[in-house]
Amino acid sequence: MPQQQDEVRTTRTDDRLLNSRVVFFLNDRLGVVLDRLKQQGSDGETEGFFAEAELLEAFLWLHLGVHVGYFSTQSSRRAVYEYFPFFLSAYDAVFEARLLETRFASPLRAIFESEFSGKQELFSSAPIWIDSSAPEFVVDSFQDNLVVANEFGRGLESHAFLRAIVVSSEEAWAARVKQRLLSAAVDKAEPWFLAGYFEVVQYLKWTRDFFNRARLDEKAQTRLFGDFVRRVKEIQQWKLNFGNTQYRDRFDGIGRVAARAVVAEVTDTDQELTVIRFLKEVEALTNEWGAPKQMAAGS
Amino acid sequence: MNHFPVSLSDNPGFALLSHKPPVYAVVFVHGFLGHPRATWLDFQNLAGGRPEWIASDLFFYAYKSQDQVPVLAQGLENFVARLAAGREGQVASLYFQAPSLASANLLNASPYAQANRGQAPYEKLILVGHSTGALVIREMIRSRIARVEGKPVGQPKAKVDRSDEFLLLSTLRFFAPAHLGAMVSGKLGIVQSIPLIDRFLAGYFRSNALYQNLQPTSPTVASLKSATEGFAEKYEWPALRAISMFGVHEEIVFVGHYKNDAEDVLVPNRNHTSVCKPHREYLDPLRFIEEGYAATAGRGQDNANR
Repeated sequence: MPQQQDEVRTTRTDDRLLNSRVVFFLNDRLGVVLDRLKQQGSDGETEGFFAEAELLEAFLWLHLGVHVGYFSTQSSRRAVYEYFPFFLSAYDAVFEARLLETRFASPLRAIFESEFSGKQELFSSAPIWIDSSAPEFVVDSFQDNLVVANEFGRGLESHAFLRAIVVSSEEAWAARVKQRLLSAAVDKAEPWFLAGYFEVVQYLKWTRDFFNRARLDEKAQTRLFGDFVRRVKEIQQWKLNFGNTQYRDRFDGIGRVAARAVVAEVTDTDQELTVIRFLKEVEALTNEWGAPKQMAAGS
Repeated sequence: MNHFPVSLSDNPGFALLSHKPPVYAVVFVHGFLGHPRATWLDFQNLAGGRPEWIASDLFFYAYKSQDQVPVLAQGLENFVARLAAGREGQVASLYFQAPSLASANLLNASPYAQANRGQAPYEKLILVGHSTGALVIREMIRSRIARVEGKPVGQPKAKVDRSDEFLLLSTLRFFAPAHLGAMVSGKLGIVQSIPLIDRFLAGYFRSNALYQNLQPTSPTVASLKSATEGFAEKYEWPALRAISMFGVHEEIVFVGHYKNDAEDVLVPNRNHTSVCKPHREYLDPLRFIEEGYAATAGRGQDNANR
């Protein structure tokens, strides 16, 4: 067994392995996002900046993966070169809409500003581990989070739900959802609402459980691992933007409808109290995704 | 990490392939509105350096919880048949074609999956199902045996081909299977030890159309049980005999098994969702599947027909 494990360990630094992970990323994440970007608007929905922000998020996953030693730097750069006009357009769209500051935390903005402007090479800025390489358990954690985040990002219901919450104007949201919330008819009109809401709750719960379990290990109780966890959340915060009042109001509004639609399955006594308790549990999950100060201040 | 990830070519699930030549294909099939990744990911992390897992490719198969069980089973059967025919090469996306490279893959390298892993076909198949996933697996087995029975009489060698054998010699390990149907009444609130979020998620599952079709009296559930038990009387195929693990707080499906199945394994302090999620203090699910590895040892077609 020891010999076998040594052999396995040796293969982990194999360039072909690091390349294969980039290919996985291209198929599992970037390709999906690029397809959405190319198709946006064809379903009659206004994507706003959603598809562009998804593309920027994809870049940030690649960036973090390169830094922790999960992806090959060379192959990752080659992949970005292939689609660089899309990345630059996405950056411009989000920047022009003045959304960069309220959707992406400052360390992430610094990455775009330095690497997309040509001031620094791709994947050369904002490392978390500076004096040493990231520990092996961080590489493992990165893969787990990437794999599940990709699943969450690909989900049709969560995508429709988040897109509506993130990009709808006040008028559009009022017309589409707010009036229906009062009559609790929103799920009949927009069947993805409840499904999308529960998808998001499940994802938040998965993330919390994952990091709580990871922190039980002494080696994860370090400042750098804390920075890694924060980066994983910041990358996704533009769409899980619970520090933003408007976003949180919309999410909570759907949450109340969803909880009332399901509570009869949970209990036949104290239903209103049970709904409140459920929403409190969800609130505890969302509080762990506190927004950067700029976002909270601007909300 | 003794495995590396690959996307599946026409399925939103994914696979973790071994760095070593694989012997086993382990196919995980999720349940109601389940998630092929979030449901099963912990298995791979906890398996660590255990030799059986190192020699396994893990496939996390996805399906949309909206079709009827036979339709879902057909999709899974097609997937497993491709595994039998050509291993991961038949189901996984090992390349990425880019616009600037019409004739080559983007990184212009031979896939890592082809290095160090040999080309021998899988020897063994383990099918792991949670909830509806178990039902889909059982329907796939039933359907295949019905087809094998329908093959021309008098050609015994042709009756069971490699693909049939690969499937019918598989080991079945189920977590909270829906093979006896799902409960359509009863309040989830009585299980106070389960977090409220989980109870609401379970409540939401119950509103799903597929779930509504899984009452114990539904044709899907009743006829599958009857047909599988009938086949199990006639044949010794291992895939006709499952072992199931339930949490004692099971709140979604009826606890129990088919006539020729092994006795159920009951786990304290677990419910429908948590029963299949191992962690450091709860390794029962991992061991449950590892026992399945042992069960595959020495299997061949000779013991298949009574």
